Amino acid sequence: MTQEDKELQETLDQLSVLAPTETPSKSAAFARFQATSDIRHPTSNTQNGSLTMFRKRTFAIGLTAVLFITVLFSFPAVRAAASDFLGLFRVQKFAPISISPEQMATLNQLADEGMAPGELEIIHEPGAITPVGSLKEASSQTGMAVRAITELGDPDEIAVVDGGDGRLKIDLKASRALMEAAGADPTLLPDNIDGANVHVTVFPGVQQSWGEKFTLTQAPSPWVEYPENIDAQTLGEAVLQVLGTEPREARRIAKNIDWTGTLLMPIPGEMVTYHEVTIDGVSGVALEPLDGSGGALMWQKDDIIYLFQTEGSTAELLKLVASIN
Amino acid sequence: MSNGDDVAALTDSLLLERIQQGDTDSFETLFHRHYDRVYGLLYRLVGTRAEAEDLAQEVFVKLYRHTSRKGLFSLRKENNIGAWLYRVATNAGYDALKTRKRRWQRDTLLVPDPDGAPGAEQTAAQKEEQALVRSALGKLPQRQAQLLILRQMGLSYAECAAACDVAPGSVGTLLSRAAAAFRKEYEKLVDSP
Repeated sequence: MTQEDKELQETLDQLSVLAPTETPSKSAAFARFQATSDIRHPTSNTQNGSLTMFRKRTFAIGLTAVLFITVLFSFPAVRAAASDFLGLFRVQKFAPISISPEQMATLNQLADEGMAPGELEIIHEPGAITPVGSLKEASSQTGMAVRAITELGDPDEIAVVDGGDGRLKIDLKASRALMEAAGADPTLLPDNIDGANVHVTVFPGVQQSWGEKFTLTQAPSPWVEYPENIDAQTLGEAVLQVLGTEPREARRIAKNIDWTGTLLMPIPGEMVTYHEVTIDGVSGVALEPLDGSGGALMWQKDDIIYLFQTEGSTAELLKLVASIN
Repeated sequence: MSNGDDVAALTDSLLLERIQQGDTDSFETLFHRHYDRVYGLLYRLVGTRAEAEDLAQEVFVKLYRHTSRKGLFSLRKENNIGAWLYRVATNAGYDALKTRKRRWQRDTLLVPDPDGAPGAEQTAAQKEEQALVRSALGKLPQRQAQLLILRQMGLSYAECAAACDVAPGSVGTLLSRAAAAFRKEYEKLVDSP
């Protein structure tokens, strides 16, 4: 054994003081895991399995979209200070952006490796689901006029999904490293964004289910408060590059988007197709997984975002949504 | 058991394939197979049983979500689930220490075990030594600390390399450097008034 080997072994022996003296029961740990995840609902049926995956995917798309606007509007042109006037972003329309599975995997991997554009503080964790007895009760709890699909009759389940809020403090160095790792041009980020703060608020929403086949989720548009003087177009271009858009195309798209009210929706292009449709009298997006396992409609009206999902087809959803009131 | 055979005997890669086809038994097998090491790694990082258990849950929720995304692991050419879990667990541990503003605990103070057992019966000297070791470890770059912890847990050089995303041939050198850096930090702490 060399001197180095000996010293290494001594160090490892010294570190053994940190080892747990007992390990929790794996069965109890797995039971806890089951209780807090949907693994307790086996997906032996292929169609249901696909639906579950699609639901996760579409919910993930929504969450990812919120994340991206968080990132986007966290890049101010000036350093934020507590006394800064804040701008306010609210969703006016959606902009689906195709993202390749490779780029999505890259971004997921970067997230798993702990790469982030700054320090995120979750002030109130959103997402807790509380069943309620009626739409009236849901309206009362959320302060929102809850709409229903009358063609489907009374929903089998109604639940309030808790809102939440969080704050992101930008770290320029980390943001540039993240962009570089994602294959984007880090120099698009101006030097003076370091330390800027952005505050995201997600409001409580209501989820209605009709059996396993249809789910309607509605919630007020999230708020993203950010320092007023930002070059949104350049930063939008940066985010588009992070999503894998070619630099020239990213610049072209960025110029044509109203960045004060457009929610970017990264769509995995090889898994889901999308097209613009008129829903509820406004422009929205129809999403269809390529494996034919279901569909979803997403639209915004009067500051409320709607997501209507099915294991059937988007054509069926479009017919049903005509009866929303 | 799914399909009438013994999933416990399957490799991680085969279990992954089955999970992506909706087989929850296979996920349970993966959970049982890797839980002890994931928990052990997190306990060494955060120093409390309750927090390590919470974080281990988060790590497996992430794994479950990833396995639900068909093809994701293969897209990444990442079939080493153990390595993936240790990377995610390490990041989760460090994130917890940072975001919960507990760096001061990691660096300078004794970390109490709120559950009492097994830490309750530890002697003051043992606790002091734990605090010194954790503090010295906390001053190392994340990858060095991760390498030392994983090796102390008994992982092979190949497993350490995969988890830390370094070349297998460099693990010996990196471990020696990490050990030297640890000793230096530890001695500084011991010598400080």
